[in-house]
Amino acid sequence: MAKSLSIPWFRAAATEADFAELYHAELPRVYNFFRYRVGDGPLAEDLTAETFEKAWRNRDRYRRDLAAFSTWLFTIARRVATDHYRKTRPEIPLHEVSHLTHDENMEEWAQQQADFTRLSLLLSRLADRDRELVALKYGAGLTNRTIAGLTGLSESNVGVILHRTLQSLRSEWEA
Amino acid sequence: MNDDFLTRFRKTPRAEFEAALYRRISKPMTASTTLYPRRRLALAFAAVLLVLALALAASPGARAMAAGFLRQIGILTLSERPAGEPVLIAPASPEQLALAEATATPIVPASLSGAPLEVAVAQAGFPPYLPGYLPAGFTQVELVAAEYVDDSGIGHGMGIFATYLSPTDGYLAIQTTGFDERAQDVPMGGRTITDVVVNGQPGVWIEALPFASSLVSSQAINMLLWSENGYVLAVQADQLSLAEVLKIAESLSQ
Repeated sequence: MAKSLSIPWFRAAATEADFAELYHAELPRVYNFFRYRVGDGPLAEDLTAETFEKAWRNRDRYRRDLAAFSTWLFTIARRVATDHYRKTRPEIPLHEVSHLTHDENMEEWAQQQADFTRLSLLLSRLADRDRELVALKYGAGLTNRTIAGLTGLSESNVGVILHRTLQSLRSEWEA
Repeated sequence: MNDDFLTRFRKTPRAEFEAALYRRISKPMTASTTLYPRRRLALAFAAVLLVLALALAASPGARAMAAGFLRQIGILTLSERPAGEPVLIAPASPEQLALAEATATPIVPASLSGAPLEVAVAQAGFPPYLPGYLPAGFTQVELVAAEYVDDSGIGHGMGIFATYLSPTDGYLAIQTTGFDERAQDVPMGGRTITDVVVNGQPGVWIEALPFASSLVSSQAINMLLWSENGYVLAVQADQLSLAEVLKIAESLSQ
């Protein structure tokens, strides 16, 4: 739709509530996309922030229904991730689990962190395209159809690639 | 390992991060003509002014056309440019650039304390114009302040936005905006504009501006726009007549 209103500050006020709603709905999805894409830690937050800043600067271009906004937002997120990889090598975060206390909940939390660190390591060994699909599917929670729309792959192709990637991850995990 | 295993590592963003990022991005932005190097822009701008001045001086018809097509509301020049973004006619001054650089701050958590009016006044630095009269059924749903920044991230004004809704899906918004001295060219793109007098000041009633909001279903809105006491004021509504909007405008006070 990309309606262009005649007065910018008028437009800004009119879309303020819309963007606030979309921001809170989409932030966790974008954030988790980056956690699965580049690993946990400050980098995921930085790239999430960069994505939303770019989206906000160009917000008059987005469609106002949530599904279209989500697709548009992840188009930006994918570019941000690509730019990041162009600039630097992927980072594998290391969590300081050894510093945690032995409280039962903390042990559970620490185990989860250790598992995610291990998963991140396995993800980092995947082909770039496969890792991106995993991040879109399991990090951001997008459907295969939405992922297909974003990546240009067919929906069935997305399903097949994810299935094979999952099999590969499973065998690595259990090795 | 299965789908459930892979999704269990999702986590909610830190609340401080969420609030800080929202604070950083929730600023209205205005397209700016600021280009680099600024010297080149200044020369180009001067050349355009010279051509325009010569054209107007040489052609009575052009003078008449320009007079008929333009409105001036405070620092806003409403032009008949058919489409495109409004632009800041002048770039930021060296002082504004220096100030923006000196006061650039990292992300900080948003302050969520205080009543909306108190927070908005503290952020904007001035109180908003609020109505003494509201049409039946309208109640306030939002009162927020926001900063206008250009493409270079340099602020050029603060606005306070008061939004009201009615049970019949009616929308009403009142904006009090304090811009800096940089003039803005605002394209009207063929909208119907009626000259009005608001509280003794020249103003315009602009009809059928495209509109989209999750708050109401309207696709178009009308706006009363004028300048008063150094502020640019606007009342926008989708279901109210000019007479009703004028009545609201005349009841505004700080």
